[in-house]
Amino acid sequence: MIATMKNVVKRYGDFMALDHLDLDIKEGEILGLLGPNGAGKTTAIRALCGLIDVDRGDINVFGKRQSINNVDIKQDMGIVTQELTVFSDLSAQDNLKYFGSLYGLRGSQLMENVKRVLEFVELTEHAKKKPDKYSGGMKSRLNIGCALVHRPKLLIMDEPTVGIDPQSRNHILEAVKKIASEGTTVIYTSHYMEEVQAICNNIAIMDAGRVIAGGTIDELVGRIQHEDTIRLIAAMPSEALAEDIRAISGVKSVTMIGNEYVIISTTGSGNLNRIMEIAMRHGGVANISSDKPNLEDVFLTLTGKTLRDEGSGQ
Amino acid sequence: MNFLITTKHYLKRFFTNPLEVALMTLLPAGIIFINILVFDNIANEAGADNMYNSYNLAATAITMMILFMFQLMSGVYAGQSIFVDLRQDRRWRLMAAPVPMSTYVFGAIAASMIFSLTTAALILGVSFFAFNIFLGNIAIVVVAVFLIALMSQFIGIIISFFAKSKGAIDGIVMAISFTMSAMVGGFLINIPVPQFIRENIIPTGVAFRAVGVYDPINTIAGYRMNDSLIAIGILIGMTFLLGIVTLVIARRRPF
Repeated sequence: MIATMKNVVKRYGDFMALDHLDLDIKEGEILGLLGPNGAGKTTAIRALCGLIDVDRGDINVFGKRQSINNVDIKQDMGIVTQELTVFSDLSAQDNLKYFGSLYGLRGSQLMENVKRVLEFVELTEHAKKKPDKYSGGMKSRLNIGCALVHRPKLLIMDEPTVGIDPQSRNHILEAVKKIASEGTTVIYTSHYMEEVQAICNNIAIMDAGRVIAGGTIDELVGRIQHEDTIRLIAAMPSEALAEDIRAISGVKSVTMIGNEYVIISTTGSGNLNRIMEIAMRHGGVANISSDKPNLEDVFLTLTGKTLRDEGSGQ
Repeated sequence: MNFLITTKHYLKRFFTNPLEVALMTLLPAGIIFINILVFDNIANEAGADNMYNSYNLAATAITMMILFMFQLMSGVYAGQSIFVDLRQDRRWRLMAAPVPMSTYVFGAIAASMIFSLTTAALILGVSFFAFNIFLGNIAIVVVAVFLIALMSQFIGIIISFFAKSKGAIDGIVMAISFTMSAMVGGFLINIPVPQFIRENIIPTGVAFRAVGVYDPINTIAGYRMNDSLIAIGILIGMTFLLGIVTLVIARRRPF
């Protein structure tokens, strides 16, 4: 393992941000940390990076105990923060030079790394411009570049695609795969299931400060393969409809998201037709479909919430 | 080595804004020039004489007043740098680097000091050659300027721990500087303050005492070195105290 977190507890006043969190990170993998807002993902990675102290538990990185004062471990780690944290009053090149120099790079080695990163994030032509002249996607790419300039062994990316356009998002996801292919271990946090499914080898699902499930996508989905996910958009949605659907034998849960009902039902129970009949009695059906389970359904089964729900949050 | 890197980094950022550079150099020089013209005019109409042994005493007093007022404002750079880099989101990235937090703080202070001492040298140089001001004991002047600038860095950093915005730091530091200037000789307005407080407790007043602004003729005659040294001692004590306060607050309100 390149890093481990054992029984980690972190409180902010009465709020338990990390609740006996256990997490193992294998060398060379892309680990997805999936969970809704407020699940504790950012707190977990800040603790892993030694940016905050924890109240209890052990965090080890590269075989050494992590703490807020341990400067050695930070030498081989890089973090892409959720917020844009580059210097807007310096050019992209100067940003990369500064961050590279903080990690001990000097002279020709520094310039070589800066050039390589500019090419990697496709900002070579804009190297001398300041970030306030950039688009949102370009700023995100520079944000990522600043974490790569020193070639970290462990890269943590905290929701790097929030607020950017789909094209830039795809570009970033491709970049993550390329980074991992060059030997860097990546921890990628997100509340977007599609991103995690697209790039991660292993996934840890977090909620309320702890990992509630972990494994490959197939392993996680396999936990609920005996269940179907039926999505119903009713013509006249109501709580009474939800109650009647819950009463059907074999229906495990019904969650309303706007005017869509997400229904988890035992596979082979034939409930699709029964649900349609009930919906017709309640005013009609706009759309109904039955899907193979995905990570969102795994999360829903385990927590009764969707990944887009607001968590208890800090 | 990281200290030199962070100092160079902050200096680069201070000098990227030409407006800031102009503000700290051309503005004080301009204010001094206008004030000298006005004061010379008033003195001439009253039949008084500004000159003593070829030195322009009024120009000397005005230069020192403006110089120390602007030095007392210079802490805004360290304060704003600390606020933006270490109290907002960027701190997570900077803390993730293998560099202790103190390196960033000392780097910001060092860069701000270099910036303010450079502007001080420019102001003094221009006034010396253009207005024939009396510099007295140049070592005393340099030490007094250095201590006022350092005090200002500590004030800027203390304010950055409590300010809600970058602009608030600017406003508070400037207010402190203007108020202290008004208390010791008047800048636009004059706040009357007992002499003992002015010359022993208000930092700008103590600095004026050190460089002989309150007693220029005896300064020129060379009879007041002991008084200058006492004033420098008071400035050192004030700076040390502010440094301790900064450290205590930094420990209680960690980044």
